[in-house]
Amino acid sequence: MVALDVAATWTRILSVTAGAAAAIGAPGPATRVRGKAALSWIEGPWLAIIDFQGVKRCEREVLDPWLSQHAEPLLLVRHLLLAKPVSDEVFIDLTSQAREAMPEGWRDAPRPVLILAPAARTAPERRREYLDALSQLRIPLLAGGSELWGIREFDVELLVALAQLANPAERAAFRAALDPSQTRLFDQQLPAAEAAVLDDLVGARDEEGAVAADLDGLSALHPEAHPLAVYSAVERAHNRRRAEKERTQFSARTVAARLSARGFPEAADPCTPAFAERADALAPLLAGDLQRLFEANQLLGFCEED
Amino acid sequence: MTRPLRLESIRPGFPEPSACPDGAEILERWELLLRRVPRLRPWVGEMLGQQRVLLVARLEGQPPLVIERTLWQELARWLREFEALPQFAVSAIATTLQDEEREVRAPAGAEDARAIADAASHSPERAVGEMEALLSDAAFALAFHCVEVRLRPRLASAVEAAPCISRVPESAWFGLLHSSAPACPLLTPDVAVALVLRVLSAEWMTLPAEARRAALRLFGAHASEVRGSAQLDRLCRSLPPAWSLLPESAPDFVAASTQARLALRDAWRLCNRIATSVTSGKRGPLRGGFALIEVDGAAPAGPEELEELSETARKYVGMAGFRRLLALLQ
Repeated sequence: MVALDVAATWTRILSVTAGAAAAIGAPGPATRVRGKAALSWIEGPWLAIIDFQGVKRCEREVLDPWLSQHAEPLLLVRHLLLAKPVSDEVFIDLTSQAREAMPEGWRDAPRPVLILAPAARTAPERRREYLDALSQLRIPLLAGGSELWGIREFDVELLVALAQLANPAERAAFRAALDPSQTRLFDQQLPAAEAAVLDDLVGARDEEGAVAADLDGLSALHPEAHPLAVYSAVERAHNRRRAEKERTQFSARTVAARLSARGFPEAADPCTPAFAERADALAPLLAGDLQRLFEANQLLGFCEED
Repeated sequence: MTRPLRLESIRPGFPEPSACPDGAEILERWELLLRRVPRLRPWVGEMLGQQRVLLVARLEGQPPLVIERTLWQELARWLREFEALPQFAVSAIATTLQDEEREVRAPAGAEDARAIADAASHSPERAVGEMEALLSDAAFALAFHCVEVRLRPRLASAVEAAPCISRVPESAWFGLLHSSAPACPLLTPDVAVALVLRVLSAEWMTLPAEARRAALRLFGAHASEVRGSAQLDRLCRSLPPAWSLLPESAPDFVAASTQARLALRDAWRLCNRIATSVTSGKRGPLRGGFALIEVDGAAPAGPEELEELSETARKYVGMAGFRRLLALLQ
C-alpha cells in the first residue's frame, strides 16, 4: 500500500470533480470532435497502452490489481481495450480480459492506439521510444502506421489514490481521517472522482479551447481524416506560435512530422485564396486563425492550389 | 381505472412486497447486483415506472395486486437475465443505457443540451457546497485571492474604459480565460487559478457552443485582425445577443481581452510566488493542495504582497482556506 496524504488527496479529488483535468493530450475515443465522439471514425474500441515507466513499485502494486479487477471493465465500456502495461520496453500484449472482449476481427485491421503516460514521470525521449516501437511492429493492428496513435498524460498519484480507496478498509480509514463535516461530501465525491478520472483517460471531459476549435475546423474540412491525425497537425501548427518554453511535447506525432521536424522556426506558406474560401464557408475566421488552420491543413498533407 | 394502492415498499418505485412471496429474496439479489453496477439503478427505477404505467393502462379494472405481481415477475426475469451475464457485460449494458438516456434527452443540438443538462444536474446548493469545500483548502484560497486582487480589478477597469463591452458578463471573461489557459493534468498554481475561474464561470458553460466558439475566436484575436475584416461581422453575429457586441466594438473587446490575459499571467505569477513562500518556509509536512502543488521556482512573495493577502483574508473572514493559508505563512 502507499501512504496517502489525506488532505492532499482529498483536495485533489475535489479539484478533479470541480473540473480540473486528471488526464490531457491527444483525443481519446470519447473526445468530441464536431459534436461526435472520436470513436465514430473507425468502428470498434481503441487500444490503450499504459506506460508504467517512472511509476514506483509500491504504486504499481496498488494499480495492477485495481486495473485488472476494477478499472479495466470500466475502461472497456469506455471503448478502450487494454494492453498489458509497459515499463522499459514498449511492446503490445493484450490483457486476457481484452482478448476475451475484443470484437471478432478487431486485431486484423488498423486501430487507434492511445498511450496513457504518467504526467511528469517520463522523459521527452520516451515519445521517440513509443514511436520507434510502434513503427517497428509489423502487425495489422498498427498498419495505419503512426498516424493513429496519440498520448494522454495522466495524474498517476491520483490514480493510485483512487485504486487504494477502492479497498473498503483503506476507504474507511481515509474517511475517518477527514474532517467530520466533509465525510458525507467524500461519500459523494469519491465515485464522482473515479468516473471523472476514467472519463479523462478517454477524453470524455476534454474542454473547448483554441486547439479544440481548430480540431473541429480542420476536421470539418476533412471529415474522413481521423481525429488523431487531424490533432497532430493542429497541435503542431499551434506549437509554431508558442514561445519555446510553452511548446508542448507532441501528443500525436506522425512519422512524417518527425522526419520533417527540422526544429523551429518552421517555414510556412501564406494561406491561399482557395483555402480561405473553403474555410470561410464553414465558419467565420479572422486572419490569424485562418493562417493557422491553413498550416495545419498543409501538415495534414493536403496542399491547396491557388 | 384502478383505485390507488397504498404502497409500503421498502424501495421507492419497487412493487408492493406483499404481492410476491419471494419479494424479499428478489430485492436482496437486486441490491447485490446494483451494488456491483450502480449505473443500472436509475434504469431499473425508470423501467419499473414505465412498466407500471403500461400495466395500469393494459390491466384496467384488475385489482392493484395483479399489477404489482406482474411487476415482480418482470423484476425477477430481468434479474435472472442480468445474473446470467458476465460482470463486464452488465457494466457495458449499464453504461450503454446511461449513454442512450443522455442521447434521448439531447437529440438535436446535443452539445448545447449536454452543457445545459450538466449545468442543471449541479444545483446551486451543491455548487456552493463544492466551492466552499474547495476553497477551504489553503492552495485554492490562494488562487481565489490571486483572481480577486490581480484579475478582477484589471478586468473591471478595462471594461469600464470601454462601455460598449459592458454587457459582456464577468463570468464570460472568466470562462474565456479558463478555456484559453493551457491544460495540465497535475496541480500547479496555474491550474489552481484556472480552476477557480472555471468554478466562477458556471454561466459561461450554459451559452450555446457556437457562441462560445465565436467568443473564443474573438478573444484570441490580434488588434490588427479586427479592423475592416469581412469575417468580423459574421463572428459578431454568432456571439450571445445579450452582449450587444457590434463589429465597431470588437477592437475594444480585443483590447480588454489582452488586458485580461495579462492580468491572468500576473495572477499566476503571484500565486507561484506566494506558493513558493509557503513551500519554502515549511516547518513540517504541508497539508492539502500545498502538498501537491508544483511550484515553478519563483522568488518568494514580497511583504506588500503578503499584506495584500491578509487584506483579502479579512474581507472573506468566513473562508477557512484563508485561515489555513495565513497560518502556513506565519
